[in-house]
Amino acid sequence: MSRPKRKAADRDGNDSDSSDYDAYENSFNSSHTLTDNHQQQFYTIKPNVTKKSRPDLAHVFTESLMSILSPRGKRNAIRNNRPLSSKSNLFINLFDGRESNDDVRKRYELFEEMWSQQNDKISDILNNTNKQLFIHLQQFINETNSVKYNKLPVGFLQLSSNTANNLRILQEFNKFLSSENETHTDYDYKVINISSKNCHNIKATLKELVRQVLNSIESNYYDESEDIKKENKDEEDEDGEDEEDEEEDEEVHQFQGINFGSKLLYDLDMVEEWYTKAYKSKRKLKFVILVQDTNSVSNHVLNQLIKMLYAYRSTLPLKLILGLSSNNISNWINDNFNNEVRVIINGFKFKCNDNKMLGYNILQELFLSQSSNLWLNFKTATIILSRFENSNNSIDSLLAEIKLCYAIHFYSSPLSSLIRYDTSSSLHISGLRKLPSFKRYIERKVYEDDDVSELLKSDKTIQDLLVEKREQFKLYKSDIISLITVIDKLQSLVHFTGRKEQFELYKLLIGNKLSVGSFISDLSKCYSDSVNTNFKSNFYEFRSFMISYDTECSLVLQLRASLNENQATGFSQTLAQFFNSLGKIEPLEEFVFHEVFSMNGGIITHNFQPINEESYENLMINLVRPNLRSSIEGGLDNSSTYLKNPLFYRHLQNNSNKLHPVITLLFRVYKEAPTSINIYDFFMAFKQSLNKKDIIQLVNEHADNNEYISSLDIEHNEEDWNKLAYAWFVQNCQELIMMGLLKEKSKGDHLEKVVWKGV
Amino acid sequence: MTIPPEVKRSLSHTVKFRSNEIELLSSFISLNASNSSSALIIHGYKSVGKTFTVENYLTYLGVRNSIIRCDECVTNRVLLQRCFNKIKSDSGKNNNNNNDQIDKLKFGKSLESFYNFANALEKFIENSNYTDHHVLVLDRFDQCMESTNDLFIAFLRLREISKLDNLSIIFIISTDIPKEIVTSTIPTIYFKPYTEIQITEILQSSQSCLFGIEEIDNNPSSYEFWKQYAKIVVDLFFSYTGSDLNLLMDIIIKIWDKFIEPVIEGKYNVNEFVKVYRQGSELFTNENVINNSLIREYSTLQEEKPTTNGNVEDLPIHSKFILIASYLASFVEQKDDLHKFSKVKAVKYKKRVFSHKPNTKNDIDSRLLSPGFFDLERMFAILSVIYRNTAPSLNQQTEINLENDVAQIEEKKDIERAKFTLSRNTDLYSQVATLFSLGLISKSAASDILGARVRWKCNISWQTAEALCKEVDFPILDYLADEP
Repeated sequence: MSRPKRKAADRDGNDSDSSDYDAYENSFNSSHTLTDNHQQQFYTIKPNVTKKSRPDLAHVFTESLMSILSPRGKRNAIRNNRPLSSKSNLFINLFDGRESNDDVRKRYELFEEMWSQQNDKISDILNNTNKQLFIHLQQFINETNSVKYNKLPVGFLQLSSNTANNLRILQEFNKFLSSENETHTDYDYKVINISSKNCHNIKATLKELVRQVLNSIESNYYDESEDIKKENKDEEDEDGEDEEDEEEDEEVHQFQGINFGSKLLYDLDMVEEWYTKAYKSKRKLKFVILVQDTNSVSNHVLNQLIKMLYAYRSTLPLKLILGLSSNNISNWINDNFNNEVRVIINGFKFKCNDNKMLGYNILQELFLSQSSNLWLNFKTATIILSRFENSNNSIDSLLAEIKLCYAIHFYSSPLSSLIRYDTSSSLHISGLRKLPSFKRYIERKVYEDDDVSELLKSDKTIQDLLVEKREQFKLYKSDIISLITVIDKLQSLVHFTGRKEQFELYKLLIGNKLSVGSFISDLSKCYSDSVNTNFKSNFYEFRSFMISYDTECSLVLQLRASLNENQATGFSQTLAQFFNSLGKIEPLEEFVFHEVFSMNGGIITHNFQPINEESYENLMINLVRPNLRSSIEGGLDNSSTYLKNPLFYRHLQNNSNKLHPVITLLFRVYKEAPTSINIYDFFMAFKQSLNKKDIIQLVNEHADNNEYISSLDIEHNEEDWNKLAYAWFVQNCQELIMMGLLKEKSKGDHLEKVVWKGV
Repeated sequence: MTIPPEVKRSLSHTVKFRSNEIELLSSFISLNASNSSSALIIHGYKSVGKTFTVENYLTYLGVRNSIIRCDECVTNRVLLQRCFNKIKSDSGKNNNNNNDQIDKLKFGKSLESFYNFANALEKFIENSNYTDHHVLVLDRFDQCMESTNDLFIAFLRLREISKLDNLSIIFIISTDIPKEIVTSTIPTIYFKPYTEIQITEILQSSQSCLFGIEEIDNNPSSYEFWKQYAKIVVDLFFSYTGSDLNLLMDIIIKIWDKFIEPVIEGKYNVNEFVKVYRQGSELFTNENVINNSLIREYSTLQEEKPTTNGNVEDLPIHSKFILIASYLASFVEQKDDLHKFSKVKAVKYKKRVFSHKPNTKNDIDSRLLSPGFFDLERMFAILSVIYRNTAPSLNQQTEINLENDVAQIEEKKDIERAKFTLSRNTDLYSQVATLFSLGLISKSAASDILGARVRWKCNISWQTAEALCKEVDFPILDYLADEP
C-alpha cells in the first residue's frame, strides 16, 4: 500500500505551487509538514525519519509488501503471527506518525466496511445482469438436436466490443453451468472452453477439446486429493510415453477402463467411444463447446472445426457456442463461413446485455442511492466517467478505479474516519482547519464581516461544526439525488436526443456545471408547446409523478407546488424557473469539510491546471493508467525528475557534479536517429555528444580513490578516451535494448528502433 | 461375375439416372477379388450421387466393405487408423474385442506411416485367414484436412508392397485427379452432373417435406403439391445451385414451412398450388434463401435485421477515433500528410498532371483502392490532429462565468488543446490491441508486435467508416477529398 505515495512523487512537478491542495496535503499527508517541495517529502523518507517518530514504518512497509508478494501460505502465517489489533498495520500512522493506532484502526475498519458494502451491491448487480441470457443459453443446450433439419445447432453469443467484459461474461456462464451441474440432476454439462490461442490449426484445437473432455471426466471420478495424485501420475505417464514415442502426438491407449486401441489425442472418436461405452450416468450429458474469442480464430480453422463437430452431431450431444463481438451476426457469417458450413449449421443468436448500460447502472447504484456512503468529488467523477465513455468501457476496470478511490481515500486521509466518528483530537481538528473548504468558508465569513475568532481558536466549535455539516451533508446528498431523479424523469418523458445518464447529471450538479452547454435549453425546448405535440399528456404524467415522489428537497417541493397551481399552459415557465434555480445549488467543492465526505482519488500536483475535462488527472487514474511513454521518455530525457535533484545535492553537499547520466545522453542521440541506426555512426555521434571537459574534471576528482580511474589518461590519450566512451556506449545500448527501445538487427551492424520510432 | 439383372433393376430404381455408372462399377468391382480392379477412382462434381451410388451398389452386391469419410479425418494418421480399425471390424474376423493389447503387439502400436499400416493390415489378414473380397471406400479422399496426394500413390501401390490381394480400394474425389497419379492406369468412372430434368425427377420421386397434418398428408393431392413445389424450386434456383442436390434440398426445406402456411391455416386448399405460390412468391426472391446466413434470435425467433456499420457501435469514443485515424492513414498517401493534417498552409501542394497517361493510380479515388500499410506512429500523429480538431470533449463551449476572463480562458484552452495528445497513456495501446483482436485493424505478417518493421492496415470498409464518422460527427471527406 505504500505504492501510491511513491508514485505520486514520481509524477510530481518540481516547482512548488502553494495551492490549497498543497496545503491540504501537506497538512497531514506528509512526513514533513513544513516543506513545500513534494519530492523531498518522499525521497527522504528513509534516511531522515527517526525510529522514534515513526516506530514501525519499516516493519509496516516490509510486511505490507510481503502480504502482496508472498504466496498465500506465507501470507496467512504473517497474519496469524500478528496480534489482531495490528491488522490495521496495512495503513500507516499519518500526521507525521503521530496518529494514534486507534485512529488508524478506525480508518482501516471503515474502509473495509464501506468497501464491502459497495462490493456487495456490485456483485449483486453483476450476478443478475446476465441471468436471463444464461437461462436462454441453458435452454438451448438442453434441447435435443432437431432431427428435421439434421444440422449442427450453433449458438452465436453476441458480445460487446470489450474483450475483458466478454471474458467475464463467459466465466460467469461457466460458473453458472457448474452450479447448475450441482443443483440439477437432469443434466450433466461438460463445458469445453476453446480460445484463439488453441486455434493455430485444427489439430491443436481438437487436441485441446479432447484433453478438456478427458480431464473433466477424470475429475468426476476422483476426489480432490486424489486428483492431485492422479495429475502427478499423469505427468509421469506422459513423460514416459514421450520417451517411448518420440513423437509429438501422444496417444491414449486406456482410460477409465475403456480401451481406445491406440487413438491419437486429437481424435474425436475417443470422446465418442467414451460416451457410447462408458457413460452410464442417468443424467443427460451435454457437451458445450464454447469458443471464447471467435473473432480472433482463423476462419479456416473455425470452418474445419464446425465440419468436424457436424460429423459427430448425431452421436454426441454437442452444442457449439461462439462468443462473438459483432453487432450483426449475419454479416459476420457472410464474411467468415464458407457456404458448405453455412448450410450445415442451424444458428441462433443470443444477445448479452449492453455493458455500457451496466456500467452506468453500477455507478448509479453505488453513488446515487440513498444508502451510498462516500461520494466522488467533481474531478474524480469526471475522470471515471470520461475514461469509461472515451477509452475503456470495461466493467472490471471501472470497478478497480472505484475501489482504488476508496483505498486511497482511507489510506491517505487521516480525516477519513470523521465521516462517522466524532473527534476531540487536536490533530484532527488542526487538520480540519487546514482543509481548503474550511479556509474558503472562513474567507467568506470574513468578507461578510462575521466573527471567525471562535472558529479559529475553539476546538469545540470545530467539533460542533463537523457534526452539523455531517448532518447537512446527508440532506445535501438526498437533495441532489432528488434533483437527479426529477431531471431524469423530465428527459425520459419526451423524445430527447441529448439524454444524459444519471451519473453524468450527478457530475454536472455537484460541479454546478449543468448550465454549461446546451443541455438545459434543449430540454426546455422539448417542453414548449409549440414543439411538443404530446405536451399535455407529458405534463399530466409528470405532475402525477411529482405528486407521488417523496422528497424533502426544497427545489423539488417548490416545483411540485407550482405544478399544482398551474395548468399545462404555464408549465414551460415553471420549468424554466426550476432550471434557473438549479444554478443556485451549492457545488460540492464549496461544501465545508467536503474533503471528509467525498473522495478525491488522491492528489498529484500539476504544473498546470487543465481546463479540459479529459486532461484531468489524479493519483487513482495515474495508477490505473500510467502515462507510460511520457514517463519513460521524460525520465530518459530529463533525469532530474528521478536523480540528482536539489535534494540529492543537499544530501551530498557538493554541487560540483552536474553531469547527466550517460543514458540520457545516449537517449538524446537516439531521438535524433533514424529507425535503423548504424552502430558505428551511433557511437561516433554519442562520443561527440559527451562533454569531455566535464568528464576530465570528474575523473580527476575521483582519481585518488580509484586505481583504475587514476590509470586512465583520457585527457591526452585518445585511446583511453575511446575506451571509456565505448564502454559507456555498449552498456547503455544494452540498457535501451532491455527497455525495449532498441533491437539489434540480425546482421549485427545496425540497431533498430523498436517500440516508438518517433515518426 | 456380375450382379443378377433383377438386383440391378431394383438398384436402378433406388439410384436414378446412374445405370451407366453402375454398369461400369460392376465391371470393375465384383464379389470375386481376382476379377476386381485393385483400385478405382470415382470422379465427379459434388452432390451428384457418387457416394450414394457406390454405397448402394456395394450393399446390393453384398461384398464386405468399409467406408471412410476422409473429410472428417484431421491427419493422414487418423485416416490410416480409421481404415485399419474399420477393415478389422467390418471383416467380421475380429471377435475378441477386448484384447487390444495383443493386437498392439501383433500389429504394431500405432500407425505412424503408411508402411506400418500396410504391415499391420497384412499381418491381420494373415493371422485371421481373411480371404473374402473386401472393398475399402475412401469417400471425399481429396477433402481430408491434410494433403493426401502422397497417400494416394501409396494406396495405389498397396498391392505391390504387400501380399494383400483381396482388397479393392475405391477413391471418391470431386476435384481433379492429382498430377502424381495422372499417368498411372487406374480405371476412372466419371459421374456427370444431373440435368435440370433429372434433378426435378429425383426430387419429385420422394416427398421429403410433409405438412404435419395427417388429413392433408394422406391426401394424394399432397404429393401433387409437393411435385409442383419441387419443380418450382428447381426452376428458380437451378441456375444458382447447378446439380448440387444438397443445396437444393436445403432451399426446399428452408422455404417449405413458410410456403405452406396458407394451407395449414386453411386459407387455401392443397389443390390450389398456384394460389399458394402467388401468395408466397416473395419467399423465393429473398436474398437469405441463397446466402444461408440468416440468424434468428433464440428467445424471440426474430430474424436479425441487416445493419450497415460493422462492429463498431459500442466501441468507446477513442477507439472510434483510432479507427478513423487508421482509415485515414491507410487511404491518404503519406506524402500528402503535411498538406492534409498540419496547420502549415504554406506547403505547396502540387498535383501532377499526367496528361499523357490518363489512367494512373492517382486518378482513382483512394477509397476504391486497397488500404495501404502505415506505421503506428504515423497513425498516432494523425489521431492527435483529428482528435484535437473534432473531439466533442475538447471542443465544448466555455463556461460563461463573469468572474473569469473568457478571452484568457479561451487562450489557455487553445494552448492546452494544442498540446493534448491521446498517446500519453497506456489506454491507447490497449485499445489498439483490442481493435486488432476484433479484426478491425490488421498488421503485416505474423511478426513481433513491438518490432519496428510491423506495419498496420485498416480493415474496415468505407461504409463502416462513413457510419462511424457520422456517429462521432467527423468530417472525413474533408481529409480524403482531393483539392483542385
